[in-house]
Amino acid sequence: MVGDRWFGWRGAVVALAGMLVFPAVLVMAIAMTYDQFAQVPRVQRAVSAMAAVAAGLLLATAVRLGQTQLRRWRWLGFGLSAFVGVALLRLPLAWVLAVLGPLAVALAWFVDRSRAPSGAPDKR
Amino acid sequence: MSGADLLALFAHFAMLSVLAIGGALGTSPEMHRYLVEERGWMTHGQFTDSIALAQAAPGPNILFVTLLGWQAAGMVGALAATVGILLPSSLICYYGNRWRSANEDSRLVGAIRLGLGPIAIGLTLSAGWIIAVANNVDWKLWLLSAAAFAFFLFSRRNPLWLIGAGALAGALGLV
Repeated sequence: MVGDRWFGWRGAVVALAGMLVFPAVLVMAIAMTYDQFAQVPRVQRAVSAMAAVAAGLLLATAVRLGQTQLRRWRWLGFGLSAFVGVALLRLPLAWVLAVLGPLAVALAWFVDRSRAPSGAPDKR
Repeated sequence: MSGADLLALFAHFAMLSVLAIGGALGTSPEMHRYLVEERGWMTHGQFTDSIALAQAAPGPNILFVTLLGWQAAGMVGALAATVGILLPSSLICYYGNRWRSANEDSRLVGAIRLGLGPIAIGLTLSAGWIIAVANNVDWKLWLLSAAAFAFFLFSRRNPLWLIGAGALAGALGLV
């Protein structure tokens, strides 16, 4: 966004590449090094433990985000449906979103007509 | 991996780029379904290891996509997956931000926010669940996930500390 503001789309591309290329090379180097030692049980276990923590982090993030929506708890039904479809039924994400996305946005469009998110009254 | 497979990989990640309403990690359950279950290009372990390594490494979290591409098809795969996940969403961001700035108070922007927000939360929940199921092969890892969940529910401390502590505990054979 900053790259775009100062140098147009070329700036945006260069800024994005600059931010990504070095970390990408670094993470690949880490992964390749890990590959050499992946057969060592302790190394393997260390990475599995990191993944277990990451999973807990994501679950906690979701619950915390959900807490911010408690005043609109009915809408969390859409989140729960997405979880059932994607995580439990293992349906393709595109199908789940093709059904839930338009449904949720349409419902929001009709139900929330009086309350714009900024608190500003609707102009139509 | 054949050229057609590589193209399929790129196309799939480009599609997910458009569907990433809960951030890139929100699409990881779909990546798992596609890469591990449908295509068989990597094992459950390779999938979750890639996510763990990218989380622990410095740099943007989106780089887990680079590692997944690399696991699936080497260097070209890494490039295909990374460009695939970045290109469409960058274009949408580039033009969408201008549109949104101009229509900040419009009813449609409000409806999209209100409607898609909870779905994004559901996808984040799915990501945590899928990684836990694919990774936690025994009760000790489940216990670690549960402990991390409880910790992050109450603490805003940098996740890297606990990820590092987890790695240490794993290396020492404690979990």
